[in-house]
Amino acid sequence: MPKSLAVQHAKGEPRSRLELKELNDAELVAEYLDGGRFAFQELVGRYHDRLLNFIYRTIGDRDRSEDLVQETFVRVYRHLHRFDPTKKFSTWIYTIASNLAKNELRNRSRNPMVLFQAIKKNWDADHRPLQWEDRSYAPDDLFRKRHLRAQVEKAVEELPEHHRVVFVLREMEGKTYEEISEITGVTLGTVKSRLNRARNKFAQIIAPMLE
Amino acid sequence: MPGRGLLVMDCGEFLKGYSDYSDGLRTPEQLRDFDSHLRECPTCARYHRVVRQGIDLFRQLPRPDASPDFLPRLRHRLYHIDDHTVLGSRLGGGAALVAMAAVGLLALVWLPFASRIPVEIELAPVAVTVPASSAEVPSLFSPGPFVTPVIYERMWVGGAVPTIWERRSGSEELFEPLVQTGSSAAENDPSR
Ligand SMILES: [Zn+2]
Repeated sequence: MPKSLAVQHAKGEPRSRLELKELNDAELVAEYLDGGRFAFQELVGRYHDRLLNFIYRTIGDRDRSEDLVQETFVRVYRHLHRFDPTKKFSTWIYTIASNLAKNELRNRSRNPMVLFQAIKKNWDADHRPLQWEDRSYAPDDLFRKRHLRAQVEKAVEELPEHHRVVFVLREMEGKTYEEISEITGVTLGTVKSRLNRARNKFAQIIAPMLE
Repeated sequence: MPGRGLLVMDCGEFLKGYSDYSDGLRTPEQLRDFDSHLRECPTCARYHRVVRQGIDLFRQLPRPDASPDFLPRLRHRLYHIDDHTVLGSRLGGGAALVAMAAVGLLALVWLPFASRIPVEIELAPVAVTVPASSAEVPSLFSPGPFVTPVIYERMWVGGAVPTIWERRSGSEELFEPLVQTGSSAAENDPSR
């Protein structure tokens, strides 16, 4: 957004939702800390779907992912006054979400019952009756497409956790290596090597299905 | 092994640097070496194809939608954070008053035992009025020397409660009107 819009705004007047949409994340944070109540709502609107997808692709449990997205926003809300405005807000919020996802996986690995429930839930989802949502596809194409997607999903789930996080951040969320390094708290070199290994393993798993 | 002698790099080098190549993070000269290896080596070409196709499919996976109660639930949680913050600071103030009252009471109790010095002081007579029943204070130290009806009233009626409600109305409005899903997140994200 043009910097002038933020400057032009009369002090003390609440911004309209349309005006808030024009602000970048850092300006929204400043607006919220300055008493602009709806600014936080705008931040939630910007990030909740993306974070849900990121956490879901990392931990593989939709309901639990939603809880963790809630927890991410609660932590942001509590600590927004401590946010360093020289940093990128999106990196900060992804760091919080990524740490929560990591903790979740760690706890889950210690609790076989939770692991069993997650596997069962995924199995149930994989074995739903086929929905004919797209009539332009012949059943064979649709079946193949769905089968491939399921296999791709499974391939990503099979990646070791620290490879999967990097893979999802890069391939789905489009983060740069530097951002991934900040979010995951590892060096740039480690990001590169994890991403390379993740792509390699991913290719090994899906190759037989694609050819 | 495809025409190994003709290639600038071998398959091991290709795979090792594959991510850099894939993300365009090498010098133009090095990228050309990768390109030429891909043209000459069917194994690595297949690998590259599989990764690209797989990642395309991965990006097409349906994104989960937040459940309809996601925002109301979040709003509720944030509302309790506001509530807790205001109450916490108010209770902090109340606790200080109670502590002061306790110290005062202890001082009163201990004074006769602590002062062993045989000094006789003539105290002025103290007149005590019993508070009206409507102004009774449910205090631990009733009738307390410090927690008076006026202070009590200030703590709970004149002070904390309106402040909480002011804050509450604020956090309730935090999400009014409700956020629409499918926001223009991407266009506002500097990382995109
Ligand atoms: Zn090769």
